[in-house]
Amino acid sequence: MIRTLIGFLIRIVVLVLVILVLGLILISAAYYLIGPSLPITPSMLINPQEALAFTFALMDTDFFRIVVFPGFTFVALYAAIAGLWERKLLAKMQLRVGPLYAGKFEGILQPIADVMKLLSKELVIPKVVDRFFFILAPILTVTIATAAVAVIPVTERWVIARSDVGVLVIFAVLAFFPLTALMAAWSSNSRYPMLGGLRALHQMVAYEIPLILSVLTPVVLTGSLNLLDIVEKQSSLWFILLAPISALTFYICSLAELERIPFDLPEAEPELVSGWLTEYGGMNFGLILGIAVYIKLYVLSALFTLLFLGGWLGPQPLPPEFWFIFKAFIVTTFLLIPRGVFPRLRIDLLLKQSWARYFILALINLVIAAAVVLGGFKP
Amino acid sequence: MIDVAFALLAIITVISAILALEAKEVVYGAIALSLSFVGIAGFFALLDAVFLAMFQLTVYVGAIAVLILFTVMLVRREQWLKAKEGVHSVLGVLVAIIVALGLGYLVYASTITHVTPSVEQAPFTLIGSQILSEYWFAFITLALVLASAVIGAVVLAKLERD
Amino acid sequence: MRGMGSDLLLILYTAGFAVAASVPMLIIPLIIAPKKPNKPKETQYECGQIPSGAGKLSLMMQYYAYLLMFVAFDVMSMFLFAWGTSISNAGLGGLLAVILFIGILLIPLAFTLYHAARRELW
Repeated sequence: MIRTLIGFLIRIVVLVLVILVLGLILISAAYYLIGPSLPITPSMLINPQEALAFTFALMDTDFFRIVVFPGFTFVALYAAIAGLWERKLLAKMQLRVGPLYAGKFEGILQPIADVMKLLSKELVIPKVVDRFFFILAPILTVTIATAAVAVIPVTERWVIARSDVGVLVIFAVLAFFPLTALMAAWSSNSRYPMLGGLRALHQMVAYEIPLILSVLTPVVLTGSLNLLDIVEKQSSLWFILLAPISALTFYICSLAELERIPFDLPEAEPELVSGWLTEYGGMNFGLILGIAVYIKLYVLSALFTLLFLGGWLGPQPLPPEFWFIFKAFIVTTFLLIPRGVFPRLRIDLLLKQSWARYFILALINLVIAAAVVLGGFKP
Repeated sequence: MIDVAFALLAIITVISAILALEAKEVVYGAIALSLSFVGIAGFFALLDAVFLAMFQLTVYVGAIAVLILFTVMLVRREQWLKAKEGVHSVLGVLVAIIVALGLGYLVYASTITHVTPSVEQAPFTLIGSQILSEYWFAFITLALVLASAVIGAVVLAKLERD
Repeated sequence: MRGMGSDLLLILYTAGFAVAASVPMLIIPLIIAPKKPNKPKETQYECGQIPSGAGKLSLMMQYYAYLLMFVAFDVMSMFLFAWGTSISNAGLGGLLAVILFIGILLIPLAFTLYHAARRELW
């Protein structure tokens, strides 16, 4: 027993040290490559005024925005909290308790425990897989999901890239996901992943068109593709009241893009083992299923808040950052709830429903909104 | 004189296009093709046509590359992997190199050092308004072309068991 | 105000940072995780049975028509975005042109849905 306890402790210590060292190298490399030329002088350790000024100057730079606030760290934290919240929420709906033991208060340190577990697991790569694409596909999925985060504004001040075609960047990013899913499915040279991958491809592809068309309605109502403009125009009336059908279609198509129940067929657990993720284990799995899916969840919830719920606009005593995160969290909750409520749709019904029904629904609301705008309505 | 971003994008696009044709495993070729599409989107972005770059990414990489990859995955035949190289391929490479050198010499020997566009950069909102007012006929023809392409593709792809 | 080019550059930086942050996450298990390969771990997983037969299937050919449709409708959505950003400039004539555009494209939708439902054709 002493042997395994000491081995366990050594492994934990090595893990923490390696994470710290790699993290420091990464942050300093990013700072020197894309960061500002703010000087870090040793006198900052002594003089709190200088350190404070340095911190405030740092918060306005691109480096801080990419790495910390609306960028990677914030999204990773959101992903972790959403993961824990999903498990607790589902558990309460199913009259269970969910994760309870990690951390004093209702299992709140569970995400940390999950990450440490995944990092210390053996990375099993079966012999028949195509090694290059097997390892490339999760990295590509995470990269592309994070690229979408770059155009999502949390407030007017906190946005990484103020692009005039922000909405189109999100679509360009969403278009990559079927490609990476297919790459991941094909590289694991086996039938269950292949079937699951093809189903994932068809589902994601079929639900992309109603998603694009339902996003088009707020764009038509404001006449701009810039996400900051779309939120500004909602200061009098939120677009969910003006275009409820589009909001509903967007919500349903987000469920399908995230492969959540009721559109769960690519990961159908009793049916296909784990769908196109069957051969993935350890941190490979953690990267795809954990981080990339929750980043996609953040992107789609944030997009829903920006397009339909008025983004960061809210009553004044609370800061706009709080309102945005609060609304995005409510949308995330609504995206997580169907997992405990609905059964799963069969693949041919799923595809036919998207092309025959949601496509027409999105078109209807689009034409109504266009007629309204041409009639002289200016939001 | 040489723009770093342009050179990098050019190298990536051309090499992935070559890989798309020459790869022994056809699926690698299809993925290399999607990489060359991404390179072309980068070229659009360098020319300040950001709308077109996103259009290219969404349509080419998101739809066409996916379709090609899907088709190739399902129709792989073992004899493709064993195709032999003949003398024709060497001849083809020689012709390509001669043509490239000739064109390069033509550009280099002329006195053009800078190409300045005579029109200033147009905002992308102009695409929408022009295509609906001045070029509406082309727009409707585009719809007819797309419709006939889809119908034709479905008719060709299904088995004739009517 | 910055030009449009630098926004795309920032998106590329974000993506690059994501790559740089996810590669160590794959390297860390290589350093500290045990490596004990054995035969069952290395073959594919098929619920405990030993896998046999080829690894690729073509069961999903019946949904091929949906992929064919997707290409055309993706192009259509992008053109609708080009219209949507300039809707007040295009005016009523533009709206009629777009309704005609969508109407023409509803015909192959109906055609494909009808033929995709007849599974014996695929």
